[in-house]
Amino acid sequence: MEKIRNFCVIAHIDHGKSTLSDRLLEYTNTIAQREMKDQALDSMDLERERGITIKSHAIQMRYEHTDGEIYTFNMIDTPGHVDFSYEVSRSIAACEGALLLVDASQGIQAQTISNLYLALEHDLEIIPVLNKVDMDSAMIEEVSDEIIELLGCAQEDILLASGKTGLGIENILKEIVDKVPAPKGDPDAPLQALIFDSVFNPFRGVIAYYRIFNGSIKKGDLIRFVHTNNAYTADEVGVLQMDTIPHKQLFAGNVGYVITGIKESKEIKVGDTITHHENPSKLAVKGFEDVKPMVFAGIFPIDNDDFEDLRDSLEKLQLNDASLVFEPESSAALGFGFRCGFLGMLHLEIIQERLSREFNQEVITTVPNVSYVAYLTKDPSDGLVINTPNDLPDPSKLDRVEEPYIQAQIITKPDYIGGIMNLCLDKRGHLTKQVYLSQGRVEMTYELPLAEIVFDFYDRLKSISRGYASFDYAPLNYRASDLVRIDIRLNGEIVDALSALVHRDKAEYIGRKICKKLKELLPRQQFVIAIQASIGAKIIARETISALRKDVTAKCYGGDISRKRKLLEKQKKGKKKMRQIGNVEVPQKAFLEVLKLQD
Amino acid sequence: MLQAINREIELRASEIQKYTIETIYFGGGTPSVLTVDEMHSLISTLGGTVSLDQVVEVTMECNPDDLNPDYLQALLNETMVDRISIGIQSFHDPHLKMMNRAHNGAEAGQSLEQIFNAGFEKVTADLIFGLPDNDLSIWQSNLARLVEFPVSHISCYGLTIEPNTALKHVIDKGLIDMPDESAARDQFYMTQEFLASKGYEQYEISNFCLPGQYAVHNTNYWKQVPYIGIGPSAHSYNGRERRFNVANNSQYLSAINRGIDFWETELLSESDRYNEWILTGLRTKWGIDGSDAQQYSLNIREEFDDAVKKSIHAGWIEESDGALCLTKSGKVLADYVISSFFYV
Repeated sequence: MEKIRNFCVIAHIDHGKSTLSDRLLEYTNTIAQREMKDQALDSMDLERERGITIKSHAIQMRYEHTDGEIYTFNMIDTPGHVDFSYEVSRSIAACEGALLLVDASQGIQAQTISNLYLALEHDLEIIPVLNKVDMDSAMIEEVSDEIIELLGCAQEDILLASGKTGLGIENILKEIVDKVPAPKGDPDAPLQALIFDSVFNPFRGVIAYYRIFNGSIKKGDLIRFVHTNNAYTADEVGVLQMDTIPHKQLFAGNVGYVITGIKESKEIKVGDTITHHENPSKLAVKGFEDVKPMVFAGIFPIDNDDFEDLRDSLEKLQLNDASLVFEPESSAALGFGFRCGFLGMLHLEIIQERLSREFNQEVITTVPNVSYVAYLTKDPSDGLVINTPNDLPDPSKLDRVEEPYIQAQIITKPDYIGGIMNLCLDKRGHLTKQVYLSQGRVEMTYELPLAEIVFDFYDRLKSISRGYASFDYAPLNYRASDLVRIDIRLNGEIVDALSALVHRDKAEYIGRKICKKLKELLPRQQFVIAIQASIGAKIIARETISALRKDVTAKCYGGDISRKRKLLEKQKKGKKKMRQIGNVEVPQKAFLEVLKLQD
Repeated sequence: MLQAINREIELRASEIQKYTIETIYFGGGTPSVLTVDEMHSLISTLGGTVSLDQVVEVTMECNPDDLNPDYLQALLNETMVDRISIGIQSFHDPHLKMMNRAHNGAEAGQSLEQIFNAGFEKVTADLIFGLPDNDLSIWQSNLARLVEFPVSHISCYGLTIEPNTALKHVIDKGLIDMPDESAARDQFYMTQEFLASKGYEQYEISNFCLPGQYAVHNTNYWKQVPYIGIGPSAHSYNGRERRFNVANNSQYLSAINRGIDFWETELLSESDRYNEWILTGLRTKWGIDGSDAQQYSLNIREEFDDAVKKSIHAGWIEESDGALCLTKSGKVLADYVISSFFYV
């Protein structure tokens, strides 16, 4: 056990975590250079394209230290986006150390800090690494000062590295042995292993990744998951390198995988504890949470006939993404579909994109909302969970509605404090703390309604701060709120899929903006289209789209023919992705774009 | 450039020789900057490659400001050119200025006079409507002025604001108002009525002619007849494949000189062919023959049948003598109707 080191990498998106990880894998010959695709760890295409890690992964390396001994390194990759913060916390809980990777030209970002705090809470040994020091824009001194300020470490504790050139890789590996404590635990005690991730393999079922704190696990063991209370046979156990490597038995301190023939990832919950069915551990690993979706939206097939296909696709997606939840929903405007719950907006976009790419399913995603709790006057203590605007009870029966709040951390340059304060004020936020991390960097802590950050908060923050602001959040609590439902009518007909729950003070403003936005998004037709926003029967905003009076190409000779054909084919493709509501054609993206209110 | 064009004809000799040449069209830009000798040499190169005995129409596009009586006379007498397409666009000076034309309204009239004085019988002129000032009376006077001449053929093009053009730029900057769609539609309707009253038949959305005086060359585009395009940016079509030469003049020249490919090709899929059949056919007075849809696969036929039903219901197309044709209200929304037929 004293030859094992378990560590994770904490870094912001784009700070070079994947590239640096690749260099570690190369240096330790875990992967031959020629096998290397860039960023070997991000295995989903989507991840590689977006340059972010959606799901965490683990990999084992063998490293020969300067003392001549061979060490086993388990590197646990962490997801790089706020939507997946619970998964990050479980990865951290599985480690004794963490590489804190900071881009030398960008400095520490909010999310890095919140993950760092998580790591410190778990008593992880932190090895600070300044990455991309080979770049001209690197500000080694300034960023080092930030790290020193945060960690209270010495200048010489900070390692300089470049994933691109391979600079500093050997030093990092050395420091991991010297600084990260070996795992503790009793291999003879009852089994106690923390599940920190799982992946779906179409041939082998769901594979659970775990860290053993006590005891051992071997092939053929009858095991039990403490929180789901299900028992399974361990068909195969082993460690993860570039592929799964079966072992007979794994012991306390190590990181490995188990295959049990589970077909649905719902059955394996990240944060759960694996123990033996006979002689179970008395203690589960602390910190288990049933992750709840934060953002809800309806997903509907463009063509009603595709409803069953959509169900199949969502079920398949759920096999490897247990955080996706869905139940059937019907909409007067869109017919049958599903109300889906997501961890956040990125998660929603990923699901929509995966439906399109992997299942060839073009869908309509309705206006997303958060989960509200409504209390009726007849029973003001028993809350109803509201996941769709249409479930909001009649206002006359309502005692109150509560909405979820988050605590947000924003790190930026002092120049942008004013702009960010205005933004947060506009978003009904409340500043609770403001700390200077260094002369040039300030951390602001806000309490904000989650609903306000679902839409265009991040984009506006980026533009106000010219990209020099980073943002992270964690759920806080529920608070009473004065909510109203805005309905949208197209030629008089209410389109339920466009309804939105908003704060009363902003209803009129938002209603006007939605109407304007729809005017941009809806194609003109041969008749006039009236767009109205209303609260109950009261119309609060109106726009009109004039009728299409002339739509004809002038010239159609030789080369014009193929140019024009392609143009009209493109229009027709767009049209196929539209949904007919009453007599109005509504493009697929209108439902999601409608609340992106920034001009 | 002329050398390169002659060279292209030589390079494509075997391809050209597969066809019986029926029409020749000098267009795309301002071929009228060529001297009569240069025109003569181009036609000779072509004639040395393929027989021109069956040619029934040789059109040359001209700018009014390039013309003079001697030039026109020599063109008619010494070359095969027998049809002039003249880019009048407008007789109204402010409009010509807005469109950056080198000629004015008076010169436009003079050039027409010269063309007829030289003895050309087949003459087509084009005019542009739907300009930003939306004035119906100016448009009407343009049409009236044009039909004072014995032009056998008229093309009336609705202005389209293309991206990356000077006009788009000034409209975006707010210097000129965007043309009004209703006004453009009214001008289009007026064109149809006015020219009909003068004996011109609308045989394609933008094309009108006196009885029987169809543009043979252009009509062939709409009937999927193969053609060979020579020169930068020229397109060719052999029934299955489109070929388009590089548009950039210097790239074209250097590719020809260095003997490397200067074109790209595009094989038309079944749906491409179907879509083009709809696109070109529906715009003409002959329309499309519904039974021709039978040659396409089931999915396409279903799309077709569905679109026919909807378009007839909406009053955009009507059936007469087995052909499906755009109605008056269909013509003004031709692109909208055509794309509803498309299979994608």
